Amino acid sequence: MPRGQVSINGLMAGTLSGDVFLELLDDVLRQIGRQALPTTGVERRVVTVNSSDRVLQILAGPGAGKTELLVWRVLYELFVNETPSSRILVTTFTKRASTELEIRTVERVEALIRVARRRNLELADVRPHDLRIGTIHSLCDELLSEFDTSYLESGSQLVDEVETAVRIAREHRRKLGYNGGRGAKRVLDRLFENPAVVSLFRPPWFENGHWPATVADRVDAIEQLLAQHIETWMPRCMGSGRPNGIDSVHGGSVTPDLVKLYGRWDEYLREQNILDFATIQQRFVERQTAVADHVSHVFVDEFQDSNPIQFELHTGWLATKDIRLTVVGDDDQAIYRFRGSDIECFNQLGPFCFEKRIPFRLERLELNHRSTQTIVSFAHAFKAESALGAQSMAKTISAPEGTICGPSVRLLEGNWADLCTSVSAELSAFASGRHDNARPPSVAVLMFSTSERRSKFGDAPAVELRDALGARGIRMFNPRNKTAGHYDTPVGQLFGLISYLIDPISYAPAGKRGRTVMVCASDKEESRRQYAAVVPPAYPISLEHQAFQKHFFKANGGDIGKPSADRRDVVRLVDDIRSGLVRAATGSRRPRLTLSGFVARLLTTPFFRDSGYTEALFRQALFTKILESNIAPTRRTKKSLDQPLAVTLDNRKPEWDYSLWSFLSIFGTFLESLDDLEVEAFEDGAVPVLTFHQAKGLEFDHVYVAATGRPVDAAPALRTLLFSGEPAKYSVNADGSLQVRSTKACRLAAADRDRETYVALTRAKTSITVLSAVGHRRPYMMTSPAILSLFNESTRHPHRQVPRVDVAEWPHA
Amino acid sequence: MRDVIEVSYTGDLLAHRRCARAWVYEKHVGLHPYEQVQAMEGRLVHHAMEWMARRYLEDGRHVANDDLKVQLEKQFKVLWARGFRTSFSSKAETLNRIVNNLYCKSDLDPTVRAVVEGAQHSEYELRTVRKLIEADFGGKSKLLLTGVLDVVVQQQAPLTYRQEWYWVNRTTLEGDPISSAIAAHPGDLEIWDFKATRFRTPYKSDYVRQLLTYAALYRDQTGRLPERCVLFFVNEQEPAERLLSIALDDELLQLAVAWTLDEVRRLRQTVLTFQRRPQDVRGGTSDNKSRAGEGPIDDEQAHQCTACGQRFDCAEYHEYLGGPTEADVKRSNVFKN
Repeated sequence: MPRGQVSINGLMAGTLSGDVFLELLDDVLRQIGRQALPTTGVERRVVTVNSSDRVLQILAGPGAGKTELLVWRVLYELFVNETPSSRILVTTFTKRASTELEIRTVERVEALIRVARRRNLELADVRPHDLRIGTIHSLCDELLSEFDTSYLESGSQLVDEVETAVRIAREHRRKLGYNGGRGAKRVLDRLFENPAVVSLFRPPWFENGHWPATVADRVDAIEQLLAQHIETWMPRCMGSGRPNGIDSVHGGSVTPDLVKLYGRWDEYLREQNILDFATIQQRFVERQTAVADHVSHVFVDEFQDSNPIQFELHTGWLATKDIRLTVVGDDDQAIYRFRGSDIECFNQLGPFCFEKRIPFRLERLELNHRSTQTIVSFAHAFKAESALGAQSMAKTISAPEGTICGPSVRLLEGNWADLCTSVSAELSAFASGRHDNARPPSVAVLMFSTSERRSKFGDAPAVELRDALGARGIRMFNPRNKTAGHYDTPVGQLFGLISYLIDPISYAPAGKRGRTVMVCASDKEESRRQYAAVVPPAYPISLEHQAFQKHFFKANGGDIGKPSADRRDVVRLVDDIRSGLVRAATGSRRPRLTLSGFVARLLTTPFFRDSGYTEALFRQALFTKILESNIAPTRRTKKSLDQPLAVTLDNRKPEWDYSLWSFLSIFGTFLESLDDLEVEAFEDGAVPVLTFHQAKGLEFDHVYVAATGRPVDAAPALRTLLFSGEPAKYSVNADGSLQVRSTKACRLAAADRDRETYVALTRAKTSITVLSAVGHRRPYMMTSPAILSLFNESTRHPHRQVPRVDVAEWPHA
Repeated sequence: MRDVIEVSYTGDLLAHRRCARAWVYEKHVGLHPYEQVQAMEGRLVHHAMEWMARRYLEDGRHVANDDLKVQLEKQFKVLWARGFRTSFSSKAETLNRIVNNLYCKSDLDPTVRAVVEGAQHSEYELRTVRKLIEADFGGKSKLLLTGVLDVVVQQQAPLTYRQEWYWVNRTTLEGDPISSAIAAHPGDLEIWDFKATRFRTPYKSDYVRQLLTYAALYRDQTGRLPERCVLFFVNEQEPAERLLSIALDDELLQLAVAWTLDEVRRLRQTVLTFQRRPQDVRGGTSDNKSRAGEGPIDDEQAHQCTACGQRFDCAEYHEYLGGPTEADVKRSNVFKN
């Protein structure tokens, strides 16, 4: 039966009409307990794909049901317009969102088939599984693999962010051009020594000293420079030859240096047949015309977070006459400028189409089906009171008629420790965060930063929250904790043991006048290296690995050579393995144990195995993931880290291949600010503590929001303007920080901050509690002035369980 | 918290049946094995069949064995770069074995020809969302079950199957292969699955249930009930044992789907046990009884255990080996990975 055709009682009945499709749609909605679409409402216009449609932009506020309508619009294209499913692309912002969309699509197709059969309609197989749903990077990879012969035949592969970072760390000196102050200045030396460049990318929490100083800093800087150059400057300026705004403001030759840097990185990627996330988009734009013949309709979710190259890519489809484009987004929820997205992409789609004479339709979904009336009103009041009000596109978000009013929005004020205690007490009442079969209401704590690192300010706020929740037996899931790679975690411990296998530290009389000191083969001092148990590496390596090894031995009262009782067995195992490898060096049998195999064995020792179902278990998995990212770049080389571990003997001392020393050198630099894996299993039964960015696209019954008033950081907005070729004015202070003079950059940055808070507030379905930490030393823990002003008229009363905390209720519920 | 259980038929459900312990460490926690040994040859076989079918659909002629070998060389490189390895044979041996199993000298094997010429779809994905009773599935209310049908075939010429699945007990879906002479007629719609193993594999019952479940999903999705399912044992040298025909009817499909849901429930139970205390999840078959009925691990399973990263403290594997002193599970043995 031809696609899209239907039969009634076995008789062919022509194609499924739009009207019948909408009737079936309403049947499905009623069946799943939702209301049918209003006959004259905007929802039907959104679902229906008119023959005249080229570009549809859907402005969808929070809770507007955009995913549901997007799915139905896709199904309309499949069942009514008979578009083959493999010709439909749906790009989502995250893998998780892709999975959600796939599930929803399968559910709705199955439901549609069921209700149709009840009417004796047999729908043709539209093969919904052939829809191309994924992140933009994965879709670019998929399409090039399928339709670009050279891409496929060269075995091109998309590598993830961790592997990209490892590759930059390994290659940036030789391939990209960095001397680090030794010899002639190369391209990266010039860029890193230019304060006008460095100040734009330096982390806002970095206060004093030289940046980028470490390998990890340099990798971070290179990644950011390349991404902003590829994703912003190339699409906006390269064609016209417009220089980077940095050159316009400060003079110099930043533009040619960045062009050179990109050229070298691109050359390296081509040699290796790999692509990183930024470059695959550029490569796709170059080949888009070859793919366009195989595409009919492109759907883009979260379009407000597009960057300029993605805008070029999405609008690039429109060069082919029959391709349709449907984009969905909300300008008030654009929060990814720090990663290069630009809200202008969302705002300029209409004018772009007008200029190109491409039919354009704008629809607004303004009903919030997610939240109570109170929450909808509060979010609206916040927007009006904040910097967002002046920037927002015209729309009126409201709750549908009949929505319950819900509890008042609360403000809890007090010192942070007391606020944590009050949150813990309230969550305990919800029975959240425990392993059992019951399903309590969903609760989340959302904060600007959920780092659990320690600093001169003391414990991070998220640490105090973890302690307070833990005191009541509540498990916390915090994937952005920045501590997963610390010395005491399995990541640090496993690395310490690899360091011990390759370069065991021992005590020897190598100090002045024969004093006993620690020695190892990678030591900087020759006098100490000669006492080491193994032959020193041929070239100097970074020394971070030693710290992990030392910490492993010294933990729990142990010392070098004398680990604490709980660690003795695992240390003995490493000794035995090293001895076995040394013995094999003089025998005829070649060892087969690899680095990964070594780690697999360590993980089955009681020291690691008995960690229970805790973060420790997931950090073991994180270690293996990072290990794989370090091994993968070496796989096609002669010095692969996948090869069996082997030592040779030099004057009876074991000697390792340099690839292992290089591995130690690079691996250590990545553990400084590592996050946990965002795995669903880890999240199961725990209370999520998420950053505002992580919370996007999610919803919870009860939401606690903290740290809404961080200082405005104008650097991301400034970068957008400068890499777009605009001469936005700024200067660099003596301490290396930015002095932004561009009012446009300041205005954009202020709105960016308030969008984050708006996203956090609109995640709530039933209640919002704003946590206002009084007198906290960390600047980002401040509360948004716009929020505080909304509670100006509210009276305060003591919290029931923690009386030191004041409670205020928003008076306009 | 997501309330969906995502289950891939082969990656999760069958893997869990073979060893719940290995599955839970790899799939639930993310401790991946250091070598993906078993997958290399299977992936190459599937790639070969899909590539041949696609080329035939596009060009209307069969690819030569030399062309296939060139294509497999490329695919081998891609898989190698992604960490896949061959088990106990070299690259050349692996590729030769695959090509020789698909061609008789330079001519396409008649069975392969029938599949390639009759292929309606190659790599047909099946997905379904089922509602679950939360209490039975640890608080999860939905299941996303995915599977990939290797190929849907519409026979172009008569073909005879010399092995047929005989149901010993339809209710429990237990059966055995018997010699037979089932004739496929032109126009018969069939679901085929390629197995890079030999006919004597003890997992035939699982494969049969898998195919019946796929047939049920295919019917629900397309409204068409296939004539039969066929297992193609690509590495089988005995021609009469390369194909196994499985007759089906609506009742069998219903039983197969129910069996699958029951396996999902067991899989979820493994997760809940693991969350309480990881050490409580046992190795070997999920019902703690191998097909030989002697213990949770049999000889076929042991081929996987010997390459498993979790074998060093696996009580069930130690028992199979006769004790933890075996070189295979001695942690300090550097002559084995």
